[in-house]
Amino acid sequence: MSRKLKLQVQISVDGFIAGTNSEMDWITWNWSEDIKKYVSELTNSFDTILLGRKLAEGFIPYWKNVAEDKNHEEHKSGIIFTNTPKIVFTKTLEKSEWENSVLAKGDLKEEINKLKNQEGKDIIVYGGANFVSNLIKENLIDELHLFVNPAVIGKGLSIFHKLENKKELKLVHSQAFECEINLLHYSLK
Amino acid sequence: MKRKLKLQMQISVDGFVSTGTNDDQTWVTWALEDIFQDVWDLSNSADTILIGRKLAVDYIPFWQETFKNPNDPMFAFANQIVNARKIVFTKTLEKSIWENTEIAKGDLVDEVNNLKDQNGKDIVVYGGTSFVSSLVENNLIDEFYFYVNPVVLGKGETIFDKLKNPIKMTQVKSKEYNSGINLFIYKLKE
Repeated sequence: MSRKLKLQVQISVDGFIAGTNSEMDWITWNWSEDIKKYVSELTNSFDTILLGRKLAEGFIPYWKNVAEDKNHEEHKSGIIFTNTPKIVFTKTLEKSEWENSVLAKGDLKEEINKLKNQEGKDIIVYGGANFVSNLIKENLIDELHLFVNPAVIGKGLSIFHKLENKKELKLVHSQAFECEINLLHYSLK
Repeated sequence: MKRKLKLQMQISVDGFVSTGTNDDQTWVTWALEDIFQDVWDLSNSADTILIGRKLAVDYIPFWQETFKNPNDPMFAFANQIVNARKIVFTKTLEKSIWENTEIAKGDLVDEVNNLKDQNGKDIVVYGGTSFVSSLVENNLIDEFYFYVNPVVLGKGETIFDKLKNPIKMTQVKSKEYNSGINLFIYKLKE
């Protein structure tokens, strides 16, 4: 039984995870308690974070700052994201410049399958768009946890556009959060 | 109080409403028994159907044919659709060739607002893609009923490609069905 790779991502009703220039102004950030609880449980289920290099450069320093700021409202999350082992996928970096982070430079499929076969809790990925679209294309993601925001944005960054054929999903669970975000939790067949 | 224009469409998780010109719709979860009541209720809340010309040439004859067979499981819908007032939006047709059907050839925004100002139940639109994207572009749809199918298509046709700016919506309701479909109902934020 290998551990699972889970994707957690904000998505618009028309299927984009960010605007063309990475805009996020359409996302509902004023979270209700029920979605906070869901994310907190999901966060407890993994012990490894995968990041594309481009996202890593923003993500890792951002959460390190939050972890160092005791008054930040997301201080606890900052500590979790900073302390959790991270794997950064890159073709260009030579060595990791961040704490608790190692680089993966090999073939995507082999690197992921190697990680899945290790002992431990599950693995999570949050982005970025290009990295995740490669994971989806290679059929490496086991579960989607999509937070559907009440917005359509017309154009933007997609994570499904590299698929050659349609892919059927199995609905595991859905939930309407009070802040009007809908969870769609699917497993991939 | 104006009557509302409501859109109902099948959509994939990645936001497509069709795979393209020869869409056989095999990506749609056809679990009619699951969603029947909600589709029926929406259809009953309206007395007028808007249709783009391209869809109309298949849609109207299909339902006229179904209406000839009282044993068809879709007969009740056929009855409703055949007898509803239908408005076909076209630049090319000169006159309606179907029963209970009128032609609208004027400016889209004027024609739709004119219909909203008339008395009656609400107005519903089911497609096609290009016609609906013009309605979306012009902010004419008041309520969206999306049946989100458990599938990603990767590519296809969308009804949102003409949008210049994001639209934030208010959620009216969401519902999960046993077949794995989710219904999301939104209205435009006031």
